[in-house]
Amino acid sequence: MVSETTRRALLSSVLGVGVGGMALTDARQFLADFAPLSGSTWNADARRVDREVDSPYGDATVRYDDHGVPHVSASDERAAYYAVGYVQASDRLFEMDLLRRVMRGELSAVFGEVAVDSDRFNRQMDFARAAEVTWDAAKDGPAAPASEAFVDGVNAYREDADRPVEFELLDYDADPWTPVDSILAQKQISWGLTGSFATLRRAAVADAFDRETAETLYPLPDADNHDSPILRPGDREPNPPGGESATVSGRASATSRSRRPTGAGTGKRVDPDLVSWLEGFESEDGVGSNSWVVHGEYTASGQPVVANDPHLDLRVPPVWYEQHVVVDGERDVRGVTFPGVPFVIIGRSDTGAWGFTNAGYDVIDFYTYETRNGGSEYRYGDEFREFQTREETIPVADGEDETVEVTKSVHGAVLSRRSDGDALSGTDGRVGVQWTGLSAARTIESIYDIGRSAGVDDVLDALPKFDEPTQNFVYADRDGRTLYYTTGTVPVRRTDGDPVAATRPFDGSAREGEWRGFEPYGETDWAAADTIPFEEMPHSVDPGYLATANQRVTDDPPAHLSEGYASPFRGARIYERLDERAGSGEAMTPAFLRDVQLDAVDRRVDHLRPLLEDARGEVSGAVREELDAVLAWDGEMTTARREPLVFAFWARELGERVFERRFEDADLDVGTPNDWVLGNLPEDSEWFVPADGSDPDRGAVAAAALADALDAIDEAGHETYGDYNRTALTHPFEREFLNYPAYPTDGSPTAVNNFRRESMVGSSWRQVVPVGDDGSDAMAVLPGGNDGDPLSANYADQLDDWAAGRFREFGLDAPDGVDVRFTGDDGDAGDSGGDGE
Amino acid sequence: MTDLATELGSTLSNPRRAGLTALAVVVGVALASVHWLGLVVGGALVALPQGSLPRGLLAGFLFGGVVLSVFLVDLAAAGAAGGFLRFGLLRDVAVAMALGLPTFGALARGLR
Repeated sequence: MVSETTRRALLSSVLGVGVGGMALTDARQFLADFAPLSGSTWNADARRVDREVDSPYGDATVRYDDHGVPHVSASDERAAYYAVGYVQASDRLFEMDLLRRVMRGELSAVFGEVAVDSDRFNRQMDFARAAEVTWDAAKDGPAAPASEAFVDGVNAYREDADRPVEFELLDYDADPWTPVDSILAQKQISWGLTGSFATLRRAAVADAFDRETAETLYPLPDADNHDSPILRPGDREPNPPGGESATVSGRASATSRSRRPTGAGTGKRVDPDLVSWLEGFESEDGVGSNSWVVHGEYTASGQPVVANDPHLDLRVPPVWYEQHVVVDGERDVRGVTFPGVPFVIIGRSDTGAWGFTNAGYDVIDFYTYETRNGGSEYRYGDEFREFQTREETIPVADGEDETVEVTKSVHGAVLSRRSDGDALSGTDGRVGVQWTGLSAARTIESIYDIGRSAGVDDVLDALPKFDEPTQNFVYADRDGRTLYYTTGTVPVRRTDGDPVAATRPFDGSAREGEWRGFEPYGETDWAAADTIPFEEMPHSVDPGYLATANQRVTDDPPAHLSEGYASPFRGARIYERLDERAGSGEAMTPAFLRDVQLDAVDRRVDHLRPLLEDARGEVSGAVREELDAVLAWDGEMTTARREPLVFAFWARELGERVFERRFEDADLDVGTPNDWVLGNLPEDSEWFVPADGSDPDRGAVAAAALADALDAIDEAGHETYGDYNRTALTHPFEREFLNYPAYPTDGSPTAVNNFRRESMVGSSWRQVVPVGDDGSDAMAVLPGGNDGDPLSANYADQLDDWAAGRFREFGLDAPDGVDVRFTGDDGDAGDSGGDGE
Repeated sequence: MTDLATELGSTLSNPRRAGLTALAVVVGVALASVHWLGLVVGGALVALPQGSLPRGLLAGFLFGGVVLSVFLVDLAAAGAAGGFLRFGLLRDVAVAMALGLPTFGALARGLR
């Protein structure tokens, strides 16, 4: 009896302690998330799209292909975009919500204190207001009905389905989606591509060293000494025989040619800490892209080809969402868009194909002010004006709410690192920001029109409304025509009525660098505003072949266009490949052009070769053997070899030795110059001072960097480039089960095959599309999968193909069967939704 | 294996026990579908009708197998079984929870 009682007591204790331990500790949340059947992670209802959905806009069908790409078909445009909204939300609702939270400054409300700085910045920029005025201007336009139907589709899914796993893990529900949120998704990428603090960076470096040094390290376009601009002068830009030969680059007009500002600028120092802080809110170095268009004269089929691979963050889920939308008789378009944006941005239709790369134009300026009354007023010309200010509360999950002062001047946003607005003296640590994206932009209408265009002429009508971001646009149509145009509105900056280049912060109080007619947080009359006319923007109609890789656009800009372009390595390599092929007389087949897209030759190797050769005299033994192998190598950054591993580590260590340590000594925590600049430094440059402080010695510095590189390689245990150059795409939650698997991949930060291991930036979408045939040769690939559900078969199904350089079909055929049928209010379910072809 | 068959045979040969066990399985799966504690409670429910603690523990473990089967079928129906199999450690932990928590709950048989 005693032993029976003891046994029961013991079992009771074990059960009690066990259940209590699970229920009262952190294990409880883990069990709630991952227990079989009930765990929120496994919630099957959240990923199960209903096969029958009511639609207020009429019938539509959705067919998913093997890669999870929805093929949407309807006879009514709004019915189609209602379905698009529904399927986008089913695949990417959390990503959509995350992006709008970033732009609205509402991240901390779910992520806690870690996101307060981001919220502070985004609220100061007031992107939300800019998106509101953009939608106000667009809501009566041609793209509005489809946009509103898309929003309704998103909300229908949000209301119908259980919340996706991320919402379960964070335990919150998505607010209703709005048209303004769709605009914010566009603003987000516009900011990512044109929201650059290069002006402030150069100013901070000029303050720390001197202006000459700043312009050496961050060269302006007129000092960008390479010969591979996008628009190559004279006979190097081939036109198709028999074509219209209408190649025209942007030309300077008498009214808009700008001059470099003279004198010492505002004379006010830029707070380097503010610049360092702001750099956290611009895109990672390397965000760029490749694209090219090839006329049928150079292809085997006689049809033109468009290739494009935008280099953006490589993350989970991918930045792009692929969709195919057919509206009977109006539109048959397939491609990628940003989740939350209704319309295809990069892709193809039954009439053409197109792509974008960043143009690197300067559409943002910075202003300092003379202030008084504790910083509440600023001088603007002859008068003092009050800053418009309001205080906003930033809700913080599991923490104290924060506040931020949102301040605006006549120019736009006024940024400060501190919550109280840094009400100090002089420039008071604040800087005014004027950015084209702060005004109502018509980009959504332009994208909408491109998707339903019938050829070059329609596209030329659509492009003037592409106000932001500034982009290199390449296009070809089924009639064989080709086009290159730079999009986006570029303001003419004027001081005392004269055009000026915006290469340093302006004195806002002296009314320097004015943008006439521009209305921040309002609706700009773009036709009347003082901008570079569309006709003067660099372009080429019917080029033979033309390649863009973020390099300098033209040697003959119509006005101040840019404050500096990307290094020319990729652009030069693409032109080298295309020129060789054209010179050989062999046709540029889609297979050849895919091979160009995967070209892993890094021309940095040639550019930095003199430094490697200098280092040779400084090393011996095994180090010298490693160096000799690199010198004998062809520069191809492929996974199986060791030379690219040594080169990549050496280049990184070299940049650190040449620039980063000196910047640190100057208390300067800003982005350092790229390898193009480093390779252009004279052999006896003072930047090649060895660590011991002796006279400049380029060879010694290069050799020391090599020793560091080999040590770092040994320490990491790497043998070949593939041990290091691996995908490491992570979900924002950074939970292992949500991250993608790691695969070795070719490429480098400056190879055409673009992959930045350190910042996880690279080819976020690859497409090579011959235009006008049956589409069977059109191919593409996404770095990951189309579905954001970690349990989906399409969560990461394309990643290994992407890493290995394989493509899959990108045609206009839809799969058989219907996966989701949307039925209109009249109950007329059925087949009006076409067949997807 | 022979022991397992013997134990199962013992339960099935008693209609009342078999009925109670079947009812417990249904109730247990229902509970486990709404809360993780249902796995523990389900294990306890299927164990209680059994003739001894070891038989109860075996019943709890087998109930875990039923839960695991239902779970995988549910995932497969949503097209997520392949995704689950790629989940690595988390997949293994989920399987361990499916089998372990009901077995743990089956200790309740010892209180009878």
